[in-house]
Amino acid sequence: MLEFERVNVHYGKNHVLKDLSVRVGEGEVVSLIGSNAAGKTTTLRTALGLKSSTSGSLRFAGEDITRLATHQRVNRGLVLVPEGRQAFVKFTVIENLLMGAYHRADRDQAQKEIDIVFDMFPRLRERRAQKAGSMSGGEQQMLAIARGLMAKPKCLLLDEPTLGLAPIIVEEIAHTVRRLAAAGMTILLAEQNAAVALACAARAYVLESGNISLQGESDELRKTDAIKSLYLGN
Amino acid sequence: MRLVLAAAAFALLPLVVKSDFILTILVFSFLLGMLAVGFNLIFGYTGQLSMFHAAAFGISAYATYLSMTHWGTSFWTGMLIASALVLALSVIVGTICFRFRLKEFYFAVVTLAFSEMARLVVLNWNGVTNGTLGIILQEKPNIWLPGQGLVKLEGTLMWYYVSLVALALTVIVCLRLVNSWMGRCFAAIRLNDELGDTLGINVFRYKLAAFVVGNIIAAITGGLYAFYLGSIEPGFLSIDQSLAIVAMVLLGGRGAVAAPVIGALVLTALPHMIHLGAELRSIVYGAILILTILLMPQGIYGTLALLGRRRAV
Repeated sequence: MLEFERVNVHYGKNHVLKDLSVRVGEGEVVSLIGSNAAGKTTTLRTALGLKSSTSGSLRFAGEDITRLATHQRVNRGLVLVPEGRQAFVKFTVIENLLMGAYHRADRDQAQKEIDIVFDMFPRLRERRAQKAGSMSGGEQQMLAIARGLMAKPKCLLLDEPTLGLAPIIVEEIAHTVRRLAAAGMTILLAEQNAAVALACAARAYVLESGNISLQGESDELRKTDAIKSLYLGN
Repeated sequence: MRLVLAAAAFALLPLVVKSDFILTILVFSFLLGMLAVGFNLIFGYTGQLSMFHAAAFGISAYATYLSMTHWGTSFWTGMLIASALVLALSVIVGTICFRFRLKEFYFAVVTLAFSEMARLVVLNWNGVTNGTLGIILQEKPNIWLPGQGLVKLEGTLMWYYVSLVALALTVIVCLRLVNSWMGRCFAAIRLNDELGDTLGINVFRYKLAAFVVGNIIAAITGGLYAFYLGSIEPGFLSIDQSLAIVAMVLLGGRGAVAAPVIGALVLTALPHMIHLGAELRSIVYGAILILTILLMPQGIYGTLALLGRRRAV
């Protein structure tokens, strides 16, 4: 569904992604594990075209999207939930959700999806008329994921959805990702929290300063020493 | 509803108020209000502080007059040509600014530079614009009235209604715009343009759209204003003119389509109500602005709306 083929990305002279090749199959959940500045966010931003690659190619749903603008990629169903749970803070929950449906041809009939995401996140239903800026971090993260779903994505890119959240909320977010996975959603999940990343995904890549240092099935990765010592802390 | 009532009240006002002095102030307020409402699309809704507004207004005033004298067009055709010219210039200036992702202060400075460039051209192109002396406009536009056919647009009362209708149309167009998906995207860009990008909003296109529509409204106002006033001078394109529009929007309020009209009314009427020397007047004017920004950053409309809501609770 989504394929990075030897993608290189630079920020000025900094070589941030080095010959990166990542593949996410249809209906698959794949995690991208790495510490700060490993290049996780850059990978997702490059997928969406928010950052342009210096070489390499990107394919999405069988089509070369390397040269497409961000809005064209979103139109094709590639949707990013950015890190730092961003929201339009002065918009209400409902208005924020509607913006997620922006690029859809049937965006004026988005009520059905609003009901679906409200069933998924009952807390958002309670707060539907509240300004996004007045909600807690966990609620804003749920809003960000819900807004991503409003776009009816074919592939959802989640950037550090658990960063800075209380353990109970982290569990809730992980549960949400697994539910989406069970419903057949294709997801590329960037996470620092390896436990969450491996629990959500069948397969994972470990990113270290722009290189894939390890990859494989989550069950196998969990047993490797590198993962154990670096990320799982035992 | 409140807007309809306000429009009706203004439409009936000349039946009660016969004073030419007051009606004249209102005509200027309506025209400047129109200018401010258009500017607020760019500033209040999309969040871009454009300083190109006076240029759009002034260029159009000159272009309307020039196409009438050089090509013998009617006032309305001239205004159409002037608007097309402003559209083209806005696309060029907007594309340069937004392609380079100029924001906030940088956007203001670059649009100001373009505006000054236009003013200097007007100031120094003596053969065409008559330089600092400006141009006296003797002719008046014709309009068609039911039952009377084509008549000259002259006299305060006729201008009163023409400017009121123009203002009302502007408000209607802007209301429709801000309540559409385009308006939602304007607001999204103001609040968080990076997130807008992420959601697949073509930020460049919407910024340009707001800039172009706002400037075209300024262009239409420019023609009307010049021919009501009966003269054009390079001051139309000055920084002062741009700042006066910003002041009207800040004083009236950014948060509602028609709110800047309140600012236009106050700031147009004020100099006529308080008789002060020119220097003292600008001090009072500046003090009012500073106090507004400090004490009611939402503007008059926003503050009243807040008080109204508090009372209702």
